[in-house]
Amino acid sequence: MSDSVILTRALTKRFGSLTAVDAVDLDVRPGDIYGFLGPNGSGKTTTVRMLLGLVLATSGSVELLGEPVPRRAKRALGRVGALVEGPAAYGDLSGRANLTLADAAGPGGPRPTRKRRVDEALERVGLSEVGRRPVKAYSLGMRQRLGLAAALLRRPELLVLDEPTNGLDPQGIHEVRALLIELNAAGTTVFLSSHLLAEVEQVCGRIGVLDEGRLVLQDDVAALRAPTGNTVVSTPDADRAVSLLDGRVAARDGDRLVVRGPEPADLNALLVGEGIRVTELILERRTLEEIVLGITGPGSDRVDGRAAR
Amino acid sequence: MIMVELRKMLRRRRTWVTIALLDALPTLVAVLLATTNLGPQPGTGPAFLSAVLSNGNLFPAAALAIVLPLFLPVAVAVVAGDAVAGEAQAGTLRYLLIRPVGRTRLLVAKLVSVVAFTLIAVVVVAVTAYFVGTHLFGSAPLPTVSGGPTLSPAQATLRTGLAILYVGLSMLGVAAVALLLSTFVDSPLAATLGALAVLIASTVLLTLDAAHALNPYLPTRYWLAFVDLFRQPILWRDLVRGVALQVVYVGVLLLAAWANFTTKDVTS
Amino acid sequence: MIRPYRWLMFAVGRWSVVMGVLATLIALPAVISRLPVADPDVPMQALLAKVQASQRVPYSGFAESLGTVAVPTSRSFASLTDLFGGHTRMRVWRRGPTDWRVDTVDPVGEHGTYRDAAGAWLWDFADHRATRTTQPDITLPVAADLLPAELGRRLLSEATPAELHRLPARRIAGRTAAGLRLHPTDADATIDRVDTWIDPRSGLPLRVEIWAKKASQPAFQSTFLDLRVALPPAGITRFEPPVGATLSNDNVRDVGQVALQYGFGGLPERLAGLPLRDDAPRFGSYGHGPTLIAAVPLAGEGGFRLAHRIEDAPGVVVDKQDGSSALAAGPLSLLVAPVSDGIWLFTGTVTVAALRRAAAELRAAHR
Repeated sequence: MSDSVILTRALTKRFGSLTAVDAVDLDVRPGDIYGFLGPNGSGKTTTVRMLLGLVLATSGSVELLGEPVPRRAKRALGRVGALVEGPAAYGDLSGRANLTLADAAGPGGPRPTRKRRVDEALERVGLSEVGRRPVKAYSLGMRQRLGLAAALLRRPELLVLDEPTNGLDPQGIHEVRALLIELNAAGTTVFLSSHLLAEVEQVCGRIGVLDEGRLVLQDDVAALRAPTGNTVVSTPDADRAVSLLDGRVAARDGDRLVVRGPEPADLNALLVGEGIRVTELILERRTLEEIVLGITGPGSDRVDGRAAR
Repeated sequence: MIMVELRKMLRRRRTWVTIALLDALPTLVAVLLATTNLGPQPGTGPAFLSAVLSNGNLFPAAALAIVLPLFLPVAVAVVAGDAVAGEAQAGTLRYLLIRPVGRTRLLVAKLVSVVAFTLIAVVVVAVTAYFVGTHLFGSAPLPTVSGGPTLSPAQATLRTGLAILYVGLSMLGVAAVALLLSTFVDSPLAATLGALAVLIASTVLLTLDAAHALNPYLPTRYWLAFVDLFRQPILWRDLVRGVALQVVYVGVLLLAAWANFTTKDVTS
Repeated sequence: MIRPYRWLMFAVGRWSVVMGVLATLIALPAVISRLPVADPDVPMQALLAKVQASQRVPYSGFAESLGTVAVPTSRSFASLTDLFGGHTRMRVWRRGPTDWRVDTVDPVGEHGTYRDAAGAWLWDFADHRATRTTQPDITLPVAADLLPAELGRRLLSEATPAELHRLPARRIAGRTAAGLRLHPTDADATIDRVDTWIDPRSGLPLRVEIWAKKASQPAFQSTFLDLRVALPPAGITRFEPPVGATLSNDNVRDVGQVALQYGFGGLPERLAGLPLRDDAPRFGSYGHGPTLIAAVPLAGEGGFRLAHRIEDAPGVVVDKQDGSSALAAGPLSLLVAPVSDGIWLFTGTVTVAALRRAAAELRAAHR
């Protein structure tokens, strides 16, 4: 038992000779919005499926809400809402009928309050007016919303979402993001698996990065994006600045210089003192994109020489 | 979960289309018989059919005999083959399992729903056949295969009811085979065709003298035993064996389905 | 905490359960059939006496016979082909020698024989036909004759303890049955042995196997699958023709009876060394126990058709000199030969050579 919401130890899955997930130690804590990143084919989905007891680990262990998976997965799964690899529903039934069936299946869906739960979930995702249309007539975005509604039915303590904004328009993406932040504020832990770095960057407090089955990074976003100690200077007198700062310029991109060393205030004083005009001067912080691209290889959907390392 | 599966089955349009098609064949046969007045030669064609022209009350039994060899097992194989593989193909299987619905429980619920489908199908076929038969051919007391006096209305109803039940139970083996295959493959069509292959193999082996030793174990061996309900007195021997055989088939195959499904990676 | 291939082990465990159950189910019938059966402690003499006196034992049950003898027949003999060369399933209720019912059950129909003191009703479901006959005993063999109880009693009726020895007991129809083997002593016999298993309490034979010489499987076998030794209710053997059935009165219904009408002429006391039988006047029948010869004049259209069928049958041996055709079908031999004014059929469980001798002796007697 631990305080963690998701805790894996040396979680490994082999399909024949292929090791899809290799000794992964995930640690998701209560209240996190955890971003689970990695290129396509890096093992994200397999890991998510192992967390939910759909795929059985070759070795290692999973604890979900303090319960070992899959041995006691049933106890934990009732408190988890999930969207795995896109939504799915019975095409010839309406969205409401689908949710009603989903609520009736499995434990913990008392009948008298079922209609209320279904209405609430539909309202949450903006589908309350959808009526009796069968799901097969839904747009991709509506299906995504319905999948999200199904995940939210039981007011879960943990939301496991795999690419939840797939197929949504910018307005929809914004709504989902707002919804996640709102739910998180109300105490729901969110595990967000995505390859959209920007999406993760905007909402997640912690990230884990998977590459070729290995967890190559797991840290707080705040720590990852702490100042690097360098200063970025933009100046129309770039050539003069370079000669002045001799050797301390780490990189130059036209008028932009990355300068190692002194505090920004001192640097500013130095430059201005020499009559060099400064248009912008900021602390360097790395973007998530830089961090992730720096440590991961290309996705498995690339089939040229680079992927076949 | 069983209720959920039953509701799901009853609300699907495919369920009712299948039953309607199943119903269409005996009805067509009845209309053709009535319009041409050409019954099959005695001793040929499906059981009881030659006697139907003079007694519409026999038509429910004859209709069961018409759909029993192929139509009914195909319908059952389609529904049972779809049970798990269909959910896998639609992607809904993963959502059921993380709801969470136990895998064993899901299997049992699926089987119950298939059995319910079969029973609804045979009851609909028999009831339609009763109305069509008595309407087209008139009604007379039900005779027995053994000759002798006709059956009392109560006996006739009881025996026809038992025949319906027996024919429904005879489909258990096919249903279990399709359900087992359905846990192995992610394509409902593959599971259905696999079950039909087993069925055809059983039918072929049954006609083969060299396979005589296998006969008592073939799932279709006792299918025609529902005729024994219309002998006087009822010949229970094959009926009892037929039910026992189907129960054993369900037991073993469901156990295998359980062993496979509960230890399998759901990657659909 | 890290157990490699935990799930593989898990899967192996569950599949072992499945395989275990399957193996048990498959092995169970074999194990049960190999369970030792205690031999009932009845002396052979007493057992034989019980069988020979079992004529009046009432019983009901279900029996199955399987024959491998291919008899060439014409249409009027078609029932014989099924009886001796096929699989027959029979239900029987027997209250007494002239009060019984035997149904031959096929998957979608039924042929019934309802015997009463005055005659018998014959019911055919497929044709929806009921036939009344008043001479039920004068017929070709019918299904009722092949029930293990009737067939076994007939075959053992003339046996002496000297011809018999004991076989190990077997469980048949849920009963422990004592086994008897009969070896015909006649030199011409084609039957190697008749194995019978008998319920020692009632004396009813429960299983009969007839083995031809040098055969690897019985030429004919008949077994009870269910048996109740008790008086069946009276109504069950009584027949009332159903409404709408075709009714017919048929006192002359097969070739045997046609032959009877034409008469046998003078039959000698012995043919091929076998004595003329004085029981039911079925045919001119000779012999004892399982060694039998029947000599029948082939008269009427049915008779001639049968003669042609035998003459055209595969494997037939035609003797141009005396105009005869001979055929051996398992333990059964057939000979069609001209005798004085007509054509006769000789058949029986003796060699073709013995039948030829019989034909020659009959010709001599008629001269």
